[in-house]
Amino acid sequence: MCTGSACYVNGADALTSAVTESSGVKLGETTPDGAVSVLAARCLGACGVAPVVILDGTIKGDESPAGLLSEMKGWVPGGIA
Amino acid sequence: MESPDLRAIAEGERASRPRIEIRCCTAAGCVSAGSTAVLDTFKEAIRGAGLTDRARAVGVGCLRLCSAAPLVAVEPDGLLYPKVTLTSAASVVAGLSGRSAPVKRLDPTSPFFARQASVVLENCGKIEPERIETYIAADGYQALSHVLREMTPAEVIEVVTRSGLRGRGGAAYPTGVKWATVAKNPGAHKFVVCNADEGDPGAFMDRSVLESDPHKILEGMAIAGFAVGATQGYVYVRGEYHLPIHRLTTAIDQAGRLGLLGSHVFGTPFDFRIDIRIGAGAFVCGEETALMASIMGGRGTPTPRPPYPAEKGLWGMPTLLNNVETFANIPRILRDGPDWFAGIGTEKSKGTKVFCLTGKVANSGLVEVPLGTPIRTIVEEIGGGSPGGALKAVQTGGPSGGCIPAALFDIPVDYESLARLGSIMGSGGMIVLDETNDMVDVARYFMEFCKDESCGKCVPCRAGTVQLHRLLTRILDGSAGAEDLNRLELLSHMVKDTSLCGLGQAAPNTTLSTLRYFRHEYETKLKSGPLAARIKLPVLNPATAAIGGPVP
Repeated sequence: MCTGSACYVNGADALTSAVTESSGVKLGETTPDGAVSVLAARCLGACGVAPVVILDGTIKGDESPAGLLSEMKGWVPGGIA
Repeated sequence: MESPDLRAIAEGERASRPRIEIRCCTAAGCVSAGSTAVLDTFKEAIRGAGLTDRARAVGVGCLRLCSAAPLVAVEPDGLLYPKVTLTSAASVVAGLSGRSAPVKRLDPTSPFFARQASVVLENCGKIEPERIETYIAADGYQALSHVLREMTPAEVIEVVTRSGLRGRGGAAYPTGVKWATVAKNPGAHKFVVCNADEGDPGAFMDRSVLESDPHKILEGMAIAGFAVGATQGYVYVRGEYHLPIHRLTTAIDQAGRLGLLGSHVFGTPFDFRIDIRIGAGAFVCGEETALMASIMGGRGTPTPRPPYPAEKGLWGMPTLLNNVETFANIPRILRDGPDWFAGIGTEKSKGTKVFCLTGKVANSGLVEVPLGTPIRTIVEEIGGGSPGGALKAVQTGGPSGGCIPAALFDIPVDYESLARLGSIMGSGGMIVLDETNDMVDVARYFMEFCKDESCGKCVPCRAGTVQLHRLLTRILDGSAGAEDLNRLELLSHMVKDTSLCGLGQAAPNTTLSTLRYFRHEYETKLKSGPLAARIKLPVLNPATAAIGGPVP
């Protein structure tokens, strides 16, 4: 999860809440089954397409909470909607 | 070493170019949007269509409009394609033989492009950053050649001084004066250092220049080395910048092989070596004394100035430290003359400035404008305004900067005007905020950054930023009273006035500027309501009032 200024201004907090609430882990933690780790980055440098997250090495720009959750569907059984 | 024949290299490069050049942006923003695969698709499609004698696809640097990444430009017609996919890439190539549906294009005469200038970014998006021949074909290294053969160090410094160039890293110190100081200070060795430790979140000017046009920095540094009498240069670049480090390494290698760096540059007695030093991602290492400590292998913490690096820098020797963008201006100033450069900008702020326009703005990306351009032009014309709610403010200068309200957008962007408004130009971050952004939360966000990045050496910054962050958090959660607002203001001034280095001195800037222009947003959050905040508590001793109270 990028926490840089451009992402912050464009609603990175909502992305973080969506992921942490549905996965049940806080930033910097891993789900009990070891499947998903949620990490914060200072700035990913892709400010032009903020807010940005990296999912398994792939950069996703202009992300919305709903879009992010649908891309993570099935990552945590019974967790991420 | 033999002097390289720049003209022959440039002519060879131009002759090898087919008529059509497809330029794919391969700077970090576009790479993250998949431009590497797009470039491969173009190359493959050109081969497949048997067009290799007519067209070629190359990876270039930043094409500026990052919000439309990945971007592709097709020359010589100046066509610009946004958000190119593998399918649309194939269609563009098919279109070259006139058999495809048209692909959506951007208008290069739109304000985003037309209102910009091109001095620092003149080669960005035009040359291939990993091939020195393309830089030489764009008149690269001619300034260095001219300087070494036909000028004295004093003449070079005179040209830089007359140009009126001021440091682009944030402090805006006159570059020529700094060069003259390093030149006149005695030392067995002297050093030139390029500060590429771009740590502000939301800022990517230096990264874009290094990724797009690395040789320009090397040429600027070599000219500086000749002018001040240095034989060794260092580029201090943050470790997270993998692509700039890779491209700089390639550039240093290529320049060395052609005899443009190293021993006897251009066959003259001048020796100049450049090495890269990689930082570990601490914001404070952008401060010059901390940066030098890090280069020398020490812990990256600042030391009091004076002595300034120009007197006692690396290993106690006179050291010239300039920012990436400052060095990027040098070759052009030497090539086109100081009067040409001084003709751009305002009376006291000459030349152009590169900004990273991000946040609540339709067109975000890399923007270069003459100094003195009004904020309104940058945000509303070039940036296309806010896509959602009404514009509220623009935050300039990153964590060390401040917020300028929309009502003041007509002021020109120059060093003095921004300082009068309580902000700074800084290195060039420009984050647009709209009515949905809570200014107290913005202040808390930047304070959190400063708190995390404080190196801990001096108390005002180490303890002050933590207390300021707590106060801002209390105001946000509604548990603060009027006395907390006074305390916030007093403590902000104390941290600003008593911290050891620029990080702490500038840390309260966003808080102070939001207090100045958006005080009502703080007041409405106080538990006693907005009126209570207008009753100023008597303060006998500001120091004890600020730190003595029970801040949880």
